[in-house]
Amino acid sequence: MDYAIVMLVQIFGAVAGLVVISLGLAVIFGMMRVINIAHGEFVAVGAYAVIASVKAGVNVWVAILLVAPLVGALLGVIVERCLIRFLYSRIVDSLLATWGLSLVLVGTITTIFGNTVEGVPSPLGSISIGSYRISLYILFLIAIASSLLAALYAGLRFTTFGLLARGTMQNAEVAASFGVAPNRVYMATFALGAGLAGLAGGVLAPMTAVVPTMGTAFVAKAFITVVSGGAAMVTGTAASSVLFGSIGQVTTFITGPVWGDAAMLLVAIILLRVLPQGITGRFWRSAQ
Amino acid sequence: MTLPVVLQTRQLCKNFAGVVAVKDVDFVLKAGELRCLIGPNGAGKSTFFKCVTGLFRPTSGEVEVLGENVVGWESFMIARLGVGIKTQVPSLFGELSVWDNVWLGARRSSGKAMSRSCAEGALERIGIPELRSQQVNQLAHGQRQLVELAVVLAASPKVILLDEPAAGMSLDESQRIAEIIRGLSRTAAIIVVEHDMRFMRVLGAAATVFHQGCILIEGDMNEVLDHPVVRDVYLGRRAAA
Amino acid sequence: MRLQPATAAASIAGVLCLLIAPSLVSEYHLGQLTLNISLSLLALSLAYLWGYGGVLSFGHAAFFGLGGYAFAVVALNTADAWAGLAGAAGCSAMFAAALGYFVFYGRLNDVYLGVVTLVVSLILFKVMSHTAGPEYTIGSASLGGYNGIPGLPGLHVPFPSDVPLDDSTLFRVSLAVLIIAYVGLKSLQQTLFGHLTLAIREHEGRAALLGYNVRLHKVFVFALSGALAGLAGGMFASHQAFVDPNTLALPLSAQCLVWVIIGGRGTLIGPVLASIGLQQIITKLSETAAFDTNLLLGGLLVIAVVVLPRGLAPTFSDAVARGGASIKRRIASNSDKVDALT
Repeated sequence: MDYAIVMLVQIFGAVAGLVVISLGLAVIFGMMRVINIAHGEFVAVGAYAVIASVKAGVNVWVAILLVAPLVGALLGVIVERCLIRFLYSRIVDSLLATWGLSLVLVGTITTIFGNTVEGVPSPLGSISIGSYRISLYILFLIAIASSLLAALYAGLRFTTFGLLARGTMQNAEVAASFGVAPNRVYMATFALGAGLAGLAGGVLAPMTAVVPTMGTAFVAKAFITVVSGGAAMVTGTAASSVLFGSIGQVTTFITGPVWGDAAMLLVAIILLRVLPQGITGRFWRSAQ
Repeated sequence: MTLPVVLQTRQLCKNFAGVVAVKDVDFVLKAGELRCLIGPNGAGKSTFFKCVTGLFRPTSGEVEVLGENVVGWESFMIARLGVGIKTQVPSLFGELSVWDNVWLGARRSSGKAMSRSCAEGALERIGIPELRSQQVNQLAHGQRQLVELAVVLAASPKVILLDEPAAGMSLDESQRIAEIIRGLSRTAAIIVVEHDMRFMRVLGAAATVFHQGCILIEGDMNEVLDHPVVRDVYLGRRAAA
Repeated sequence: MRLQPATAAASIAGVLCLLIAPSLVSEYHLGQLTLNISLSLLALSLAYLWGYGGVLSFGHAAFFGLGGYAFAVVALNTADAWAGLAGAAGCSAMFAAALGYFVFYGRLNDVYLGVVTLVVSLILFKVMSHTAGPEYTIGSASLGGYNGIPGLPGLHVPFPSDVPLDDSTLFRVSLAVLIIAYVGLKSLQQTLFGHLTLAIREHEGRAALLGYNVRLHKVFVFALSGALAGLAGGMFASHQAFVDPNTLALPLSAQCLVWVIIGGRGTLIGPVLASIGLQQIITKLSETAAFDTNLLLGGLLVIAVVVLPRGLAPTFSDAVARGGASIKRRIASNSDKVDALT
């Protein structure tokens, strides 16, 4: 019984982890059809922002919840203005350019912080369930993931910005004729996605080894999750995160982490074969 | 002596998530016939066309092409039976030359030895031998329509399906296309899907009128176009057949 | 088999290099160049797949690394490097065919293909990095996890003896393989298969409407590219006498793309030359330790995409063509002026 609870928490934790790292990519891909290969590096930037600010004496919660997303968003604005906006209709070129960007970011991080493994101690302790201990931080992660999903859904559905953003994505010209500046919307959306990625990095910093190349581990999973989720950003990402998170975690329980990831990939590839447009398929049906 | 049937559909239906695009269509085309499919937008002509060419899978009903039941067949398998298709938007190999495009059309069906002469013949029949070395991407729209006709012809098809061959063409160009099509119908059965009334009168083929997914009426072009029911449908006065 | 003048010229230049270089270059540099050549065979395979086939593979290193590992397993089990090379090419070809079947028959669009190849290469990297224990052994080849597989045999004089080839001969053999592959691909383009490859790149739908089996064709093209990449990986492993998961890793896939973009997508010789050139530059730069390699590579990629989207070779040949045309015009207008005067 206790073991069951622990397992359940682990599974929810894995799902939450996927949600958190994928939402930023889902926003950018879902809204702008830009595949940001540097997404993993935005996550890394968030993690390093936490490391640097904690070293500078900032409170760890402020670092995680405020500094990391802000740094991510700021970087997003810079990148969007200086690079992405030239490449909107050029899919292959934007893929390659963002790949180049990811290498530049890895190189920059390495140059600034060096190659050593960094870390932040978990700011929460653990509690016992029977003869097992679970980290309270996982519960925090689950809480963050749920809040983000809810907030994003509500924001897109019920706020003016959400409506404007969805409208612009569907048809920029029509939106412009309503007085919306598409460029501003693109910039804000990219910043939002980047900020979410930064937040992910901040939230995950106490849980993973922070190295300059940590991004590559996340980008693959985030991609599979987003692409499999399909067009609906929030519900799609949630659905595929649940699917892959549980399958990955269960396989990890049975065979270890390496094969857990491989299992995820296999399921994703089969899923895409059967549902080529992802779980929530049919693009432009519903942008939530 | 009755001519053999080259294309036939029986009770062909195609639905898209509840929208009925084509309903219970019985269609017959005989060897050597030249037929126009006409009807207002959304009448189901293009959907019918795509069901016959394997681009869509029919929801129900039968499609028989040159004696074979082709429901569920891939487009390339249907093409191999001897069906030539010209799509609504010119589909050509943009960065290749006109010659390469036409030659590829000829090569598979005529084999290695005959492919060059087949390709030459196609260029001559359409009247564009001078364009052979030009890159397709650099041609004007009207020229591309002609090149696509040559590509289709080069494959020596027995049945030719043309989707809006005169789209975007000037009056002179349309006349030329109509002449070419009439010439082609000496060696192949042809279906032309068209909107342009003037072009259809010039072509003078027999007509099949589509309306709301069904066949409304069939017959001689001028009779059909002057028929009050057809006029009502085109002018929107009537909702259903 | 008629070759275009440019292809013939390039091949002749290559053969000249093959004959002369060993006497001009030090043994150490010859060894470096031999490794560069293996990697430029990888560039050639991606240039073919992407430039001619129109298929963008983000994880092309997967085929390279797989080839290296296949080489190791076969060569260690048969004690024969040539068998290893055959195994390398064959293994990667089959893997590419399987992946191609899955993607092309699954009607996934091209962007997804790029992502799938990326993800496959990442997974392969992850899996191979964790094969450290003694249970991960195929025959007499222990996979070695992060540390890879050492002690791989070098190429030897074929058949009768076990005598290993010396450095000059190894260089010549590698370059010969590259030249043969290059000429082979160019000749292939003269056949129906070659024309169809370009046609499918341009418009799959039209090719299908003409009765061609497009999906099967793409699988063949993908498998051919995989075979070349696998052969490259085998050659690389043999020359280094060593293979490790880095041959499967993302940076190598990225470099490969950079070579093709900078060299010129749509050409074969451009990426080959670009890869050798860039490898040399990066080696020199890392010796001086001035820049982080990722920074340099990434920067080059970004600049190349934004400033030179078609790459150096087409831009260069366009410039040459324009220069030639303007010279012709000058001559024509000068002769008009002369005519007017006389």
